[in-house]
Amino acid sequence: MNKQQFKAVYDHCQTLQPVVHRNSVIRKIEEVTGKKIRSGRIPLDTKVARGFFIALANTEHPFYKRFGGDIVVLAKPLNKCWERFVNVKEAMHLMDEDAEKTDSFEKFEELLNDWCTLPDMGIHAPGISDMVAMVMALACLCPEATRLEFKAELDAKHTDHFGIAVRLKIPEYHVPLLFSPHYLTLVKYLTD
Amino acid sequence: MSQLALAKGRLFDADALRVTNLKLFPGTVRETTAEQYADQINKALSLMEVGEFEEIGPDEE
Repeated sequence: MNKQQFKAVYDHCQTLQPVVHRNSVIRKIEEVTGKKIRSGRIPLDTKVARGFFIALANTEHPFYKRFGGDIVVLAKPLNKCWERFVNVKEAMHLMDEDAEKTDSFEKFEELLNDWCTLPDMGIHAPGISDMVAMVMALACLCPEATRLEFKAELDAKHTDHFGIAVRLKIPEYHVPLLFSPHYLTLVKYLTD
Repeated sequence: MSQLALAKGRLFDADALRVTNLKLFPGTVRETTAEQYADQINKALSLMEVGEFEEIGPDEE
């Protein structure tokens, strides 16, 4: 992940109020990378995959001509919270550094095998970048000032993870990470 | 032909898509195989080829 580019996206998101619209984040990613991304829904088996990001180089291929070079595919049965989160997470990969890119069949196999061997994944750079992009998506969909307000509400037992998830419109599954001891360390690392 | 073999040609051959990056958001079942992931990617590409792509609108949250 290009830290300089992400910092620009992160700083932009700190000026936004929840619910942070996915396109507010994605348009900024496009601006800092100079690339254009298309996102769309396709029927997928969500037991296997909620979505994926794919970047193409063959500009002569009919597929490229139709969809462009950077595409986010979203599983059609996802609810709105999951779809937003997957969309933003996958768009983060426009900022991947070369070493993180899945640009060969060997790296593709490594990536799939990393996901198959959870929770021991993260051995290879593309797999690590997949996990890092989840933190990046959270940091953009939940501005820090809002996170601190929610933390105070949590500490006071005035809300819970579900209450926060519906206000941010993100999956409840990912809310605990916002309040984990390592969250701010990760965000600082990504924006330093 | 395995789904991985299909994906290999389709994604990385010089006269195919020539993928330069691909990342994944896994689904709800942890015990998923590489073949199953490749199958979903292949299915998605086949559906896109016939126009099955409901684009996210600019005003969607």
